Amino acid sequence: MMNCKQAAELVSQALDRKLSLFQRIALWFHSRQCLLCRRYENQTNQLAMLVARYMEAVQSFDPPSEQRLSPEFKEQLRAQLQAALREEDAKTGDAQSTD
Amino acid sequence: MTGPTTKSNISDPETWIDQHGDYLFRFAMSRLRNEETAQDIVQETLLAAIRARDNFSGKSTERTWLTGIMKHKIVDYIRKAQRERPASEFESDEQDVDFLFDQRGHWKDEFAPAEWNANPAELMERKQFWEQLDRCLGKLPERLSQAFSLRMIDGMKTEEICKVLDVTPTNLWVMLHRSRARLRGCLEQNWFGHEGDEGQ
Ligand SMILES: [Zn+2]
Repeated sequence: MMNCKQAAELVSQALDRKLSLFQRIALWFHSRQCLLCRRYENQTNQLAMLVARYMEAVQSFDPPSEQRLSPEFKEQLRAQLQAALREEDAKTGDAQSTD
Repeated sequence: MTGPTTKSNISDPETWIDQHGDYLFRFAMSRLRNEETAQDIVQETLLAAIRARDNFSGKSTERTWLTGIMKHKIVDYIRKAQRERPASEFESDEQDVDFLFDQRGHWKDEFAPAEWNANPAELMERKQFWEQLDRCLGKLPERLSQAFSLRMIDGMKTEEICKVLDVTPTNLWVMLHRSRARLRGCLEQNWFGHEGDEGQ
């Protein structure tokens, strides 16, 4: 008989691979009799769906201040981008003579 | 001087810093947890984007496009860091979640999944929830959180993650199980709470 520790492992693995028929049946039998593992399975699956939308969610909120680029770094970065752009423009300028 | 029309659907790269810089930095921080490394990755991403500007099709948003470039940079970084670490490090059992269960493999009372009051579907809109999720992810050991993010946030295939992290599928399943169990526990403790249980 499967215990909760093994059931929890399979609940997780079901999100990463196809369980064998035997494993699916064993998990189903265990969950039928175990409220805690039913909860664990539900919550794990709910969190998986929620976390899959992480990118979408964090895009709609301003990042907290400790997770922003410093003004100094932004300035430095701006200078680097400008240099890279000048380099690129010089290159495409040459290439475009064939047009 | 105006550029060729193929570039017209993308904004001036200098505006990327103000429009997307903080967002990209936050994304990199959540994965790499080191300010300098995250800054380097943002910089590499924007420079690579300048070189690849002509490939931007306008089918996705500019931010999604930049994020896509950055994901590759982060995966490259993790892969390289992996090659430089001692091979034995994974097997440390302190990361396991055996402590949740008793001798017979049943949930211990103090760790047994509680009923959640909040409805996870409504949490999308709650800024504080995502900040708490960040904190809980931050508590995971580094490798577990990398595995978890690549799998659950980026939706990468397990075979690909195995290559990036240089682990077997069995190892990866174990890592993902540990991170899910820890994350669920952390959120239950700090968000979903046990309100209403204490009355008796
Ligand atoms: Zn159980």
